[in-house]
Amino acid sequence: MPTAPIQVSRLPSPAQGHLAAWLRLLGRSAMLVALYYAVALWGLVFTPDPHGIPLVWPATGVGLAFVYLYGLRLVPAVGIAAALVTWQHTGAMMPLLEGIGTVIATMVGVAVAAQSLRHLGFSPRFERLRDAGLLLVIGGLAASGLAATVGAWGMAVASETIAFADTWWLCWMADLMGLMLITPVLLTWLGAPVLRPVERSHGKSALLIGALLAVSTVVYSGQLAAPLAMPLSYAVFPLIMLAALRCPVQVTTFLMLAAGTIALSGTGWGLGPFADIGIANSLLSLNAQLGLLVLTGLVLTAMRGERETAEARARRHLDELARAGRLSTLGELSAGLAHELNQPLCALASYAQASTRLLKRGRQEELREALTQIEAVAHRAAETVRQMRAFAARQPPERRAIAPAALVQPVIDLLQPELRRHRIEVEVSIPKHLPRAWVAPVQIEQVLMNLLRNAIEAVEGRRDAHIQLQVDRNRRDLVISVRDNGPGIPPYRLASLFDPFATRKEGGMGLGLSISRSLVEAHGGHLTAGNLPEGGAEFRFTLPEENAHART
Amino acid sequence: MPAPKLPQIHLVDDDPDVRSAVSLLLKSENLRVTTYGDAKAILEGVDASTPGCLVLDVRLPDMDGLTLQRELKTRGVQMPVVFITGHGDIPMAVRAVSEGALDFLEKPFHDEVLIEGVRHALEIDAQHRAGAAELAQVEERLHSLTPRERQVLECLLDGKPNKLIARDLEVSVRTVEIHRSNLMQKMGAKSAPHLARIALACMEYRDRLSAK
Repeated sequence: MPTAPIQVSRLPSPAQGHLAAWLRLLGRSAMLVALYYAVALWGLVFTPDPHGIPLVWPATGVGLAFVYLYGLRLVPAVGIAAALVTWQHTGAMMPLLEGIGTVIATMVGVAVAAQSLRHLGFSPRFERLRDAGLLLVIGGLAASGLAATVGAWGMAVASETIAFADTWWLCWMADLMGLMLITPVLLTWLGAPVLRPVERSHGKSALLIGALLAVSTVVYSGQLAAPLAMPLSYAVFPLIMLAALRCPVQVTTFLMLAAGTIALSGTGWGLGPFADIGIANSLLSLNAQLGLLVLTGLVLTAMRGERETAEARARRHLDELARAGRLSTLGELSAGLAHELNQPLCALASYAQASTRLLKRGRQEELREALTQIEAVAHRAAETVRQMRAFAARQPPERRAIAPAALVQPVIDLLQPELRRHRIEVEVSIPKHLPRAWVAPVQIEQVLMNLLRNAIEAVEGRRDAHIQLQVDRNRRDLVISVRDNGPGIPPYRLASLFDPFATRKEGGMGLGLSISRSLVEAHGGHLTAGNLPEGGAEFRFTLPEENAHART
Repeated sequence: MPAPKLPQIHLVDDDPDVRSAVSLLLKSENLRVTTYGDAKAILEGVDASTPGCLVLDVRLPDMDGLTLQRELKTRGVQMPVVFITGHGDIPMAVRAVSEGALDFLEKPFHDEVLIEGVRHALEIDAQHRAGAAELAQVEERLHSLTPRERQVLECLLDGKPNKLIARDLEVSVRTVEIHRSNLMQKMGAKSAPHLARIALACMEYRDRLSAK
């Protein structure tokens, strides 16, 4: 399922929103201008090219990110920022008309690129390969392409000694490089806030950031000899890869920017392994390395995102299937549950009828008692309804800590009519000291329901029908076992017991055990079946304990 | 028992709420109710000699109501049965009625229907008991007859005239007439047809009629 682009710019509500919207626009525009100007300033520090072409030009990338996130209303701010930069730093070199041309080209390039990204379904979460590809292609073609063309043209016009083609190439590369470094950071930090708060990733993130800053600083400080510094400059790759696979996407993009900033700054100041090999070559090599670095980071992020999306989809399907299973179970239990509800209804009707008669005869004391009973019985009936609803509810299968007894009891309650009808006792044994389980209760209840119903089916009609439900602990897992004294599982069925549609029940879909195993495995546990030496079948499954869930 | 003549309703249902609600409903009509949670309790606790009726849930935890009805009958509890059920399936109702159940009420029921049913059951029980008392009286009188009087009675029931009886028994007609007047007196019969009606009420002689 494609992720829709985040709609960051919301329509302001007409009443109170007008002023706020203007203030917001003003604030964002100011931020854009400031950032644009700052990165341009930074880019202009490093102009190893004799004609003043910078190593890297992240300003266009800043514009693209803001216009993509906050809409075309930010385009004028891009114009202001571009004009400011042009006027202050290249104004001396460039005639006025060309200056205006540069500004307009920048605005148009940014606007076209941002709109294209929006229309092509780009997502600033970088969860799909498509997102990385779109940013590079659209950014490279529209934003950088246009800005570089106009920039190179301006320079070519201004100076007779500059060949348009060479300048274009340098401008384009500087532009695209800047865009690759700065745009993902802005998009992910501003446009995809607090995404996937991966547990315990903060420590990892801090560690990676520290390591990358340290490595980059050492490499580009010029302290190391080139033969040592050059290979070491590749040390950022594994760090970025690790971040892409383990940390929130914001950390990855930040690391890429940090690596790029340090490397470019160092090289710009003539330090580090790329500084010694001549300006054109150094620019090319460094940009190639940084380009690959960004590509690696984005591609890995996207692949991880795609994997997670697929996993989420599989989980969602399991949840839906599980809910269908619960509804079907409830349908199969409905006769018993209807009876369970009919009893209190009968009691209520009888109490009410008795009340009328007692009232007529003036037997106050008995009447009062009847009315008290009516209330109590109605509450008991409501409880049955609540249990049914809870079992069938479209609850988000969120995990939480729950005591084993609280997990088991609702299932036993729901099965009570069934158990009573077949005259089966379930012996539940749950030691007091057990820790709580970390599970999605509704799903584990479903597993218990499936196993208990299978057990009921196995023993029904036997005189000594007996089912045992036991919760225990094995190292750091809870172990729940359901035993019956039925005929056991035929050996030839053991192998295919958990396969879907291995139906043996009439009316059932044959999915119960298959779903149960999937649900248990989704919790990081195992569901196994076997026969007991003394006869009868045993199903047992493991569940994570509350304090152990952080591992998984 | 201090008041053996007061009828007692025996209510069996596994649901305590239903039990106390229905029992209260019956008590509101000044009926006497004893409740039981399962079949075992009533099999152990019921007193067949007290008049009354049974109100049974069809589905009980340890035995279904129909089996309980049969079980009670074999133990000599002849009280009429009103079934109440949460699962009103027709085959079960048919079976229950064909086995002698008086009524089959689906829960929740109307109070009039239940009370009407119970009163009807109590009436039938009273009739049964009255009939049984009469029968016992007849049996007692039959037992007071001498063997000869018995023979004469049987001949009379076969429709034989005095002369024929005298020939069969090889006695004089006069003797037959004396025996006949004695047994008429002992049996409390006013006429020959009345005698026949009394005697035929008795199991011992019922077959005789159908055999002819």
